Amino acid sequence: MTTKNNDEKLTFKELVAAYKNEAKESYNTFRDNLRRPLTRAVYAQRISGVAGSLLRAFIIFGLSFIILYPIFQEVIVAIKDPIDLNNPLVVWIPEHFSLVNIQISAELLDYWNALKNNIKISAFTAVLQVASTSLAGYAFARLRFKGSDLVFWIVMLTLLVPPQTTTLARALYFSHFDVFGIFKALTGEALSLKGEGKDVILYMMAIFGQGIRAALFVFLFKQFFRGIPVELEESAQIDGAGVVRTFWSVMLPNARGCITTVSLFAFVWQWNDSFYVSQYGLSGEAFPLLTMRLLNVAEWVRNVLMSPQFKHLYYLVGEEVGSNPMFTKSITNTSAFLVMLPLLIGYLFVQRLFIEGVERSGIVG
Amino acid sequence: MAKNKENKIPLKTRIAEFFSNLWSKILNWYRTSKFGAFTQKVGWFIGYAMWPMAWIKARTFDKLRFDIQKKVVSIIFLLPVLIGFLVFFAYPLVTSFIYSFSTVKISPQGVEILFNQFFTQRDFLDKIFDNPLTDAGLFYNYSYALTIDAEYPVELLSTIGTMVADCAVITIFSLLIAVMLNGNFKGRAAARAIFFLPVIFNSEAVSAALVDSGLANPNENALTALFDMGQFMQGIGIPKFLITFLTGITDGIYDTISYSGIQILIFLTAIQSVPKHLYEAAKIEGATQYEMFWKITLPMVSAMIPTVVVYTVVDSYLRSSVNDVIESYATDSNYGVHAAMSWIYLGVVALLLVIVLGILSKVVFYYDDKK
Repeated sequence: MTTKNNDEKLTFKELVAAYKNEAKESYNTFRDNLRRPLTRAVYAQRISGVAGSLLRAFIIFGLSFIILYPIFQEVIVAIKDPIDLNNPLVVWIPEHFSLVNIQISAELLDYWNALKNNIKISAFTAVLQVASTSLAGYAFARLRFKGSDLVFWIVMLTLLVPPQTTTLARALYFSHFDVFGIFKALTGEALSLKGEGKDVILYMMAIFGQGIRAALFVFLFKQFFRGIPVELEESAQIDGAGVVRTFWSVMLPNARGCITTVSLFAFVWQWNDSFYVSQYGLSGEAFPLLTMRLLNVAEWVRNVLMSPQFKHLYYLVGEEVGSNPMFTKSITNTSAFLVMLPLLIGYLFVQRLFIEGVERSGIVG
Repeated sequence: MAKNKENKIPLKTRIAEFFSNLWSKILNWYRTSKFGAFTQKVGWFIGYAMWPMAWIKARTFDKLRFDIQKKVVSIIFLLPVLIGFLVFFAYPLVTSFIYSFSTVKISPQGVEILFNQFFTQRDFLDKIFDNPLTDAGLFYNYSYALTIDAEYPVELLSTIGTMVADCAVITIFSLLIAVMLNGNFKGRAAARAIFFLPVIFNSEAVSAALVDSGLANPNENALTALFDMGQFMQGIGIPKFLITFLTGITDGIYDTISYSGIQILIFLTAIQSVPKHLYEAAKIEGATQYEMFWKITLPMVSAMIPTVVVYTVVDSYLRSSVNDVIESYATDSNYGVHAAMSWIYLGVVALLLVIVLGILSKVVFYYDDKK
C-alpha cells in the first residue's frame, strides 16, 4: 500500500512538472507566434470567426425572440378563459382553457364573410398587379425606346408621392366617375364607383398599374428582366418567336421567383391595407373586410355581449365584464390574431418559395 | 406484418407526392374532360371571330422591321400603366393641387370647386355652408394649415424627425442583420423565415387596434417584460441621458425590426451578388471577418443604400403621425385644408429626399463587374 502511494505521489508530481513544462512551451510558442505577423493574422482570423459566430448566434436568437414574443402572447390570450384575466398567477399557461375569446372575436369580425371577401380582393389584385407590372417591367427593361427612361422615372414618381395627396381627390373623382361625359350622356348620371362593396375600383387600379406600391413591382420586374441574359432572348428570336411570344414563353417562365415575390407582397399589402379601403368606403355590413372590422372591435365588444347569443358568458363573468378593460384588450388581441392567422398559415407553406424567389429575383441589377 | 410495413408510405411523403403531382393532375383532367374540349371550341370560335384583327395585323404589324415591332409592342405593354398614370394619378394630383387653393363642396350632382373662394368662420364646420363667401387670399388653406391649426406643424416636425432617425437606424440595422443572415450556420432557414415574418405582420390596422385597446404599451415589449433595464442601469450608476437613449433604442427595437423586413431582403440580395473571389482573395491576404465587412461588403453594398432609404421613407408615409392629422380633415370633409396639408407634406418629403440622396451620392461606390 505504502509503495503504491509513493509511486502515485511521484507520478503525480512528475505529471504536474510535465504539464507545467508543456504549458510553458506552448505559451512560449504562442508568444512567438503573436510576434510574427503571419501567424498573428491566422490567430486574428480564427478568433474573429469564432467571436463573430457567437455574437451572431446571440443577436439572432434574441431578435427572433423579440419577433416571436407577441405572437406567443397573442396565442396565449386567445385560448385563455375570461376567468383567468385578473388572475395574477397566470403569466404564460392559463389555468382554464376556452375558445370563448375566439368565438366572440369571430362574431365581431363577421369572420367567415370577411375572410371570404379579403381572400377575394387580395387574390384578384395580386394577379392583376403581377399582370400589369410584369408587362411594364419587361417593356422598361428590354423593349426600350427613346424617352423610355423618362417614362420609367415618371412611373417611379407614383411611389414617391405620399398617397394622402392623391387618394382623396381620387376618391371624390370615383364617386362621380366619368370619362368625357360619356356616362352622363348615356344614363343621365355619372358613375359612382365608390361605396360599400364596390371592389371593382381596386381591380381597376391594379390593372392600370396604380395598385398598392405598383411602381415598386415595376422596379423589381425591370431589375429582374435586366438580369436575364440577352442571349436567351436572341436565340428565341432566331427560332422565329415574335416579341410577345418571347415574353410569354421565355422570359415569364424564368421570372417565376420574381412573380412569387411580387404576388406575395401584393397579396399581403392588400390584406393589411386599411387606408385605401377606408378612403373608398369599401367595407360595410354587406361587404365586411377584416382590417376595417378590426378597427371597430374595441367599441363593439359590449354590443355583442348584450346580444342573447352570448348571455351565458355575460352571466358567467359578471356584470362588470363590458367595462373590464382587460376583457376588451383580450378580445381585440384575439381579433388581431385572427386577422393575421390566415397569412401566418399561408406563410408557413410559402416561406421557402418566397425566400428562394427573393434571392433569385435579383432586386440588385 | 413485414409486408405491410414495407408497403406503408409515410404520410409526409404521400402529401408531398400529392402536391408535387397536383399541377400535372389538373392538366390531365383538363385535357381529358369535356370542359377542356369546350374551352377549345370557344377558343376556335373566338379565333374565327377575331380574323379581321389577324388580317389587319398581317397587313400592318408583321410588315414592320423587328426593332420597330419591338417599340410598338413596348408601347402596347406600357399602355395600361400609362393610362393608369394619367387617369388615376396625374388627374387626381392636379385636382388635389387645385383643391388646396379652394373650398370643395360635395353635392349630389358632383364635386363643386370654389377656387380662391373661402367661407368665413371656417372653424365652425357645422355652419360652413351657411356662411357667405369671401376672398381670403390664394394661400388661405396653407396659412390655415401652418398657423391656425395647432397640431399640424408640431406633428409635421416630429414626423420628419422620426423619418430621418428611422432612415439611419433602419439602414444600419438591416445591413447588420443581412450580413448576419447571409453566413452559413445551423438553423439559417428558420432564422430567415422568422426575420421575414414582420413583412407580413406589419399592418396598420392591427397596430391601431392594439393601440386603441391599450395593450401595445410603447414601454412594454419583450425586453422590458424580462427585466426593467432602465432601473437596472440606474442601479449600476450610468448617467441618465445615456439611459434614456439606450432604453429608447431597446424599446423601439420591435418597431425597427418590423419596419425593416424588405430592407433586409434588399441588402441580402445585394450581399449575395458580391463576387465570391473578392472574399477569397481577402482571406488569403489574412483579412479578418471584421475587415472584410468594412473593406468589401460595405462598399459593394453601398449602391443599395439610396434604394433602402427611399423605400424606408415611402414605407413611413401611412404610419406617420402627421397622417392622422391630415386624415382628420378628410373625415371633417374639409377637403381644401386636407389637400394643402398633404401638399406641404409632399414638398417637405421631396426636399428631404433630395438632400439625403444628394449626400448619399457622394458616399456611394458603384462597382462595375464588366470592365
